Amino acid sequence: MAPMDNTVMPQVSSTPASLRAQGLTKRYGRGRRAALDRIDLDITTGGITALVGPNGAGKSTLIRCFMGFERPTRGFVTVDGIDPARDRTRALARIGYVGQEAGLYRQLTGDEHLELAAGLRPGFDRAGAADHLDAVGVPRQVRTSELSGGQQAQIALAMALGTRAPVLLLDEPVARLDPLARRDFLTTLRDGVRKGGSTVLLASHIIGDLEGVCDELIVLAPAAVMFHGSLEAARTGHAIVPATDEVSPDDLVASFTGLTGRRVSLVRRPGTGDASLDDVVLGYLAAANASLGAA
Amino acid sequence: MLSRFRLAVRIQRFEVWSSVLLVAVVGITALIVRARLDGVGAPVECLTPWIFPDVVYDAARCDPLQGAFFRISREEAGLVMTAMNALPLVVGLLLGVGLVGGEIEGGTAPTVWALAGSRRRWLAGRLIPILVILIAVLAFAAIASEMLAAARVPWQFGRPSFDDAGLHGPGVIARGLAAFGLALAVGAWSGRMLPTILLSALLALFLGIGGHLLLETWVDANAHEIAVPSWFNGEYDGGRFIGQRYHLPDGRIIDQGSDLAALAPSGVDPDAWLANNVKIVAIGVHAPDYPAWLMTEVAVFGTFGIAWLVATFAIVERRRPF
Repeated sequence: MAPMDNTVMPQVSSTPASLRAQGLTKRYGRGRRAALDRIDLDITTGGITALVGPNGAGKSTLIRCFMGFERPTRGFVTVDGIDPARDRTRALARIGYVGQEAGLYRQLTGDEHLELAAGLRPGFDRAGAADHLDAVGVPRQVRTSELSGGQQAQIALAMALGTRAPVLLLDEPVARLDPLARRDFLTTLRDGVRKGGSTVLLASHIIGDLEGVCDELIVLAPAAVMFHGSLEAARTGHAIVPATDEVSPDDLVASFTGLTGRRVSLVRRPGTGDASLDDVVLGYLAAANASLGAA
Repeated sequence: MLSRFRLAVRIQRFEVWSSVLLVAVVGITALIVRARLDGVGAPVECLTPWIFPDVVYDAARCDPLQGAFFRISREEAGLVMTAMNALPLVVGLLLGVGLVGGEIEGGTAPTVWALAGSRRRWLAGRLIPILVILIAVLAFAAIASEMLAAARVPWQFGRPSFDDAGLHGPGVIARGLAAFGLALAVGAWSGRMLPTILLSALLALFLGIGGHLLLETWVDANAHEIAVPSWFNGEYDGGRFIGQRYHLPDGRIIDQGSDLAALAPSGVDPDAWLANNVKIVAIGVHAPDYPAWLMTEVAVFGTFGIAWLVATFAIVERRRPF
């Protein structure tokens, strides 16, 4: 990990984090609802963190703040200790990015994209990125307009991995892909990250794809972090019980209509639970809705 | 460097080839029309006999040549020069509109801005190859139009002339640069192609009108007394004639509408004073003033274009990539 720069980083803790948000608030225009409201996050070095939430929860806004594409209304974010609002160029030098759209030039081939990336990013691993495309069977000499959505996403991922950046920010890159293409993309991502040791923040609302790929889970409800922990802790730390069961208010996350159509409650049961990832995410989103309704 | 140049061209392939094609059509047509003018083989004394008072005008020989020359000059060269009026603006718009605006609308800006880190470096890398192409293609147009303009006034014998001012030579490149900078900045600001095309086209129209106004303003500001030869026919020897004025004994030049009688010293018969002291003179600019106009034209449009290029860097630095 790159050394912290005391001149640009607001010191809040002695533990360095690859991605950090503190008191992060982002409001688009006066009087509008905050897209992010006093968010605190520490995403430590290494592994893939899933950022899950419904549309409008602020997933893209959070990623854009890390990239310096959006300026926080209040609070700050840091990438490897660098505040992108103050030094965007240095922060971006530590980031590889894939957006919801592949963000490719229709008229260029895969090889030309890698050539372009090598010209833009010093130290870009063009050979490694080309190997990656060969390994997943994406033709490099064909214009991207003639490739499938999944193949285009693989080119975007190859460009991000080729940066060898310590941080990868992926803003719903699989949202528009079919299940097979999603699986291929996420498998490639997992393998690439294991080799490179990057810290990855993967925004998604397709929960089923995340198991076996992600190490940590953040549930972002509109404007607030509802859960942040390991996938293992999410599963084993929670249980689903019938909504009619008597549950201590301290243990109850929320009651909601489960995937089976029955009313259920998500409860905290550290070490003994057996909730599915879907249940955990739905439960915390239901809790967020309930608190919004109460407000 | 070559790789970035090639990729920049590939990314804006349509715009680059359209510009090259447009300039090639207009430029080559200009050269063809020039060849046709030369091909008439009309001697200068047939075209402007009044500047050769010692030569006897041979109507039988000269009339057909003069007719053919001026028909080609008026109909064909006139059309090319009309196209040359719009060409630098169109090429500037074509190349400038999509350079940043297209990246934002096409969704590639987040990818390349994230990769590059420094947006200034990215923009410079995208801009320089297109700027080189713009200048190169317009240089061809500038040379071709210069050759045609010279062929339309053979009686100038290659000396500078205000005929077709603003439609040939380095001014063509400067106007193209101004339109390019304008379209680039509007594209970077709006991030959408259609609004950029419409707004830039409108502004480029004003730019074209501004070019004519600039020439008129410059001529007015620099007009001085010019000698009018006896053969004066309104096309003052490659210069610009803007009217007649009164030249007073103290050197002042005043409008013909002025009350001259009031200027006569008291106790003197105004009519006699006027007849003896006030001359009617022609006002305008000489053909030798043309290089000064050219420098003004290039400086004004060039500065305008460069100012917009600089503004684009500031816009790109600040704006969101979507």
